[in-house]
Amino acid sequence: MIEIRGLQHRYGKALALDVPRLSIDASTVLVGHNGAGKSTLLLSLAGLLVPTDGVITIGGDAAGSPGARRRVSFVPDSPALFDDLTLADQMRYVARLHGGRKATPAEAANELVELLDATELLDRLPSAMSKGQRQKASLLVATARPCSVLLADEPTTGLDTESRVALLRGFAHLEQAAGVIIVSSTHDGELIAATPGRLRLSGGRPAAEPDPAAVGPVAPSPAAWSDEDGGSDDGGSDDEGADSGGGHPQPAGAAAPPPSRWRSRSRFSQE
Amino acid sequence: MVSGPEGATLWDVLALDAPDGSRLSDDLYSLYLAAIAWLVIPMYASAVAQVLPSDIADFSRLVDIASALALVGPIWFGYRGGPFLINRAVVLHELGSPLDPRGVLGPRLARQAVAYAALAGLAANALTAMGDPEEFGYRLAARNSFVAAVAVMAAVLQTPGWLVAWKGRARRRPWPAVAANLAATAAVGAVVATDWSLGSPVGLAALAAALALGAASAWSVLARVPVPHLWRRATALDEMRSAALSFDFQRVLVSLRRAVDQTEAHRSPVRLARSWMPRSLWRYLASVERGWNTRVGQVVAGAVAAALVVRADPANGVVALALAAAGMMAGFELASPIASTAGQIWFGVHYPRRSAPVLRGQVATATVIAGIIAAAALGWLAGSEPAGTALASAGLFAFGTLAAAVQGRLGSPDLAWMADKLGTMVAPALWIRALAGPLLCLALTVVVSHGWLRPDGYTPWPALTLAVVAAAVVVACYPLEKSLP
Repeated sequence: MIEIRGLQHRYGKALALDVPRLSIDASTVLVGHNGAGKSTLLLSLAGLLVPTDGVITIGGDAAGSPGARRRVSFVPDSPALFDDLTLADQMRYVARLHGGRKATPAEAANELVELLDATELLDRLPSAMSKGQRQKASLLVATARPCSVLLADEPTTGLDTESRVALLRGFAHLEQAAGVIIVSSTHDGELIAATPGRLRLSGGRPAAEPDPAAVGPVAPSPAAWSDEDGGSDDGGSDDEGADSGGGHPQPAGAAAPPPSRWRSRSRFSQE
Repeated sequence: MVSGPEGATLWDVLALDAPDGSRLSDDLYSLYLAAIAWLVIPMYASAVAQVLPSDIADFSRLVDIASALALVGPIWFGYRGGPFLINRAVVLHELGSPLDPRGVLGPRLARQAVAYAALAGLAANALTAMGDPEEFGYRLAARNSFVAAVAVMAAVLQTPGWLVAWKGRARRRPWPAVAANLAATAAVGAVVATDWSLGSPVGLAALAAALALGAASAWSVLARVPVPHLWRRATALDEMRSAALSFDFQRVLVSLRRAVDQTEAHRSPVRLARSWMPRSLWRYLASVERGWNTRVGQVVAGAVAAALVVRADPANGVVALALAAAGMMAGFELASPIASTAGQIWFGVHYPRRSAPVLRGQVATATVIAGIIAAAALGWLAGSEPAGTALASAGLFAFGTLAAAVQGRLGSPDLAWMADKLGTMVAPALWIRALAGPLLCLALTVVVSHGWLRPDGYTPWPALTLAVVAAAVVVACYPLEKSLP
């Protein structure tokens, strides 16, 4: 579905992304430290950033082309909502934009409303929502129209534990019921653990997954914990200096990823 | 009818419950208000005409020249990011839909064009009314307003072409077409500047041609407007709304840190003053870094101002206003390092709590600067030079600088507009402060033109003049936050 060849992007002189070759045909989670290039890659896939070099195709269409943009729905790291429409109106509006005047929100989105316990948000304007609720709303609006690829930049940011769990269920539902490929970036251990397809980025480049057996039982430092848990990865501020390379130990509290090496062809195993 | 690749049409967009749908009535109401203002403005502008030496032919010519210059404005505005102030939701959902981008962006562009055209018409009317009131008539004002409105509308329609040329993908930039369009537009502008005031059919044809060029340009490039650029700009705008500027409890809070890290939508290459400079008066005059384009603008403005001072006759109202305007630009240059030293956007308004030391430093410095300028100007004028000489020109220029030095401390119409549009209710207080500088500049121009500040007994209302200046300075320097809840 997604093919990447010779992708590079620089912010000024700093190399933010360097992915020589990659194919994604199943749901994948992008992991890595701040500045690793996750948001830059997602923005490039969404056609919202023109990479310095390289080619991305989605379903055969170049990223950013009308064909690719119709296949791809994007949930940015901070919600992008129409200020003067309620959530229900936004979902209806987006569905109509893609399906014509009589279109209604996709069935998967309606089910996601239930899963995310967002029924009470339907009649609210974004200004009457909390940060986490806006995040949910952004996801619901993005799924209100048909898409084959859902890109989500840190979708669990600002969500409470229950909502995060619900979001994971929602993602699984989208994959299974609607066949949507979900590519997300996150620092959230639960989301990482729940998505077998995994791409670790370091310094903008695909990196090997840390092998706990090789690293040994190293206790994570406080700095590593805060780095892994905090902050957001803004594509506009990616820089090389933020990277410390692969092999970073996982926080003990987070679900550890399977000790597998990164695979160039990501596969999502149905559970 | 705009047709999308999957059959969606412009009508489909309009028929949807679009977020902008309710704006139609707002826009019509705004146009109605503009029409009322157009009728009323001459009554106020004629008051200026009573005291400013004016010739209506000169002001009409000024409108023609300004209209012609407006036709090349899109080069700059395209470089700065284009006319679309759309949010991220529009970029994601509307431009990401099967609809033809022309169906999404076209109505917004038309709305912008009409809004700017209405503004230009009002400005042209006001300028015309500043001419000799004996010769003023609504027929002439309508003609000038029409010229300005059509020229500005054509200019706005040209902007997407330049946006695509500057910001589009390298292999798709339509430079040849845009250059040809520029040449044609320049020719049209020349005709407008030379012929229209004579009422010739050639001028009318030129305006129609400009409008047609703009419409054709917009139609051909709207589908190629770079979405990534719109996304970056919309993101910057959202960040500005949520972080750089926070409109809360009727206060305008300008993040001090943002003075050196502004978002792309409102980036200004102003940097903090040199931190190594001693903490003295001169620290406030530390250098301010600017981009090459600003430097070019400064050189051109300086050259024009110098030419006006040496060659022009300030007894002509247009020249007097031009001198004052040039002086204002110089004043901004003086005021900007002061503001940037305090970590503020130089045109910004912000006196945070417990900022009294900073405020005192700014006011003291501004006062010293203004005092030096005023002393020099008064010294020249005290030589009993009649208005119309080069020294009087220098006086006009100097007082424009004085007004702008005060204005630069206050905030500008830009910020007032932003507050009005994005914020809640700061507008009245902010507008008063923002307009204080230009009004002061205009008042001083009139005063100097008549030699009313000369201490030789000619001054008719010295106390009133001083009171006006003092009031403006007080309004200028009063901390805004303390006066608002």
